[in-house]
Amino acid sequence: MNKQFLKHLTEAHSWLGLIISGLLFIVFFMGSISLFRSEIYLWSVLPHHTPAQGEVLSPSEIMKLAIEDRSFNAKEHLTLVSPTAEIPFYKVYVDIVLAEDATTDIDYVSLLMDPVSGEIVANIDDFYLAEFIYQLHYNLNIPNGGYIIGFVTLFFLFALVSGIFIHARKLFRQFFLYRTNEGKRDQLLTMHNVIGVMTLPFTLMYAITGLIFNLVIIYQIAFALVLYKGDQQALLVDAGYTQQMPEWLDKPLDTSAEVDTLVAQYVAAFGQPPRVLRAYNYGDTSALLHMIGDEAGKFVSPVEQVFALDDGETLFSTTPESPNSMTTGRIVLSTLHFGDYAGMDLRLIYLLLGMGVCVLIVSGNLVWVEKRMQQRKSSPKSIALVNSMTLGSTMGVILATAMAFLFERILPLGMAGRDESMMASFVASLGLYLLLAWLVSDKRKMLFISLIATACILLTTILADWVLFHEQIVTALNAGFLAVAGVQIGLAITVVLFVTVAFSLFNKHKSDVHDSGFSPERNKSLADEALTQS
Amino acid sequence: MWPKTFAAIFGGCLISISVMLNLNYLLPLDVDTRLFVGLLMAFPLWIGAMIWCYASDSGWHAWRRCGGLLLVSIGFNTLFFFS
Repeated sequence: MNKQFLKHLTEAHSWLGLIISGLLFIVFFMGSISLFRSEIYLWSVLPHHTPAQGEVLSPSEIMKLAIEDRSFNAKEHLTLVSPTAEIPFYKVYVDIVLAEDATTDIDYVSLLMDPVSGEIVANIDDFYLAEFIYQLHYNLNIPNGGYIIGFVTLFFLFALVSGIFIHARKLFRQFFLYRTNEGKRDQLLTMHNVIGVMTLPFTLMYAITGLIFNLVIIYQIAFALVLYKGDQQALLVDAGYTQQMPEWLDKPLDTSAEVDTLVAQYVAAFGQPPRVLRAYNYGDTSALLHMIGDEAGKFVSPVEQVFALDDGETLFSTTPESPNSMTTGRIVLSTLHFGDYAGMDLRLIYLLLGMGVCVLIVSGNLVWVEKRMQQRKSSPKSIALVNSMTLGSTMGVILATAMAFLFERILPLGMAGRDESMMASFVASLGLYLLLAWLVSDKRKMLFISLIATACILLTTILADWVLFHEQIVTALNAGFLAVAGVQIGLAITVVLFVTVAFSLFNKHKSDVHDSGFSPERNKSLADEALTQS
Repeated sequence: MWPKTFAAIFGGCLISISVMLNLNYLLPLDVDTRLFVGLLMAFPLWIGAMIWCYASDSGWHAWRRCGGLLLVSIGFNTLFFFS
């Protein structure tokens, strides 16, 4: 390959990689944790409510209980997300008519309902940690964050492809080569290359699917304008989407029995209940029922059907027998992205690969720092900035996430703004950490303290679990719900890992200082040097 | 690096949109399959154009490369659009 071509690509690879590294770390760290968001959600909920055992209420009964004593806006929607093995609760979204003096513009309520007793356990967002982490993954929980993450993903895909070009000649020859006796920079580069090569199929898949999720709007607009002459609705129809807007007839009709009949037909045809049920104009003659799900036991077999509730007429139907390539393809991509097509073991592999990419990101930044430190003309300020940014945007995010877990556990249910307090704990911890990372010159010592502090926060979270909710946790375990214990085991493993890494860093530092001959001056110069220096 | 980045983002995006539109006219497949193929190929095309831009000697060089290809592709777009 042309030397100039590779030189330009290497410059762009390191420049772009450095710019996106902070946000990309958040994407992969939060994405890896989000693989277990059902378990984290249950870890939040179960200590407050264990689902009752017995026969599950029908969808129409849940609908009735959900809209009872509420200003339900029947002209809008009533949506049910069915209970599953992962989340054994109904999630219900009820559109409401806002009072004239309402101080909010949120025109729906989201309810977590026990599928057996019909009891309203809480508002869905009262337990916001899992959703918060997931949203950080794809939109940073900020307006238009999805587009920012989309462009970060675009540059990530560029970094992957340019990395392939840069490393092409050694891609297979040095596939398993891991040099440990080389200099610091070569060790870091080897780590960067080995992880990059081994995770390549996974990272390519993640980058392309992530781009499709976050930036497809660009092509959607272009296609609608040029191919469909501005008719976006026609494009959506061809792409397998359906949008229902039935006209309100103002003729009351009780169609609860039809809802249960249609759901029973769905179960008979596809082997499991629909994942989502959405009623339009519920209680009126014009009411429709929209069911979305898939066929049991298949890798990808999307089902989407819409029925009129007064006469059962089919208004829209996509089934495995009448597939839409776009719908099927989109679900294949999301299934691959979320890794939910097999069991826990696959998600653990995804977790390891995701964490591998986090190491890839950090090692990339450290390679940049090492390279700059070896150059005579390098600016100490830019090296200090990159060191602070790398530490702040990685360890800071990890510590802030641990803090969010702790707050999710100790904040009382029913407290006003519980979700906001949990988010504030994350933002405040991260902000404070970024500031400290900028101010503290001894990055190695700060890393050591941060690892130990994070381990202590996680340990406190586990202790708080048992001190505050030991009876409920035992009840949940006896009822067969293992999510709380599973998350606790995950947190405990993280504690052990962090303490081990912290002391390994500490011992390595001590032996390096000893080898180089300790003196206060030498120690001070080490403190002012980069994160990687020893 | 910034001039190359602008060329890579905007030039690359326009190239991928334009080429995908042409493919959509040309591919002898059902409309839903064409849309999905477009979805899958659009971003790799964009990345291909980005690689081309970043491998250029300067921002101006990158824009010239993008512009040449874009003109040809837009020519075909116009042809298909009015045919």
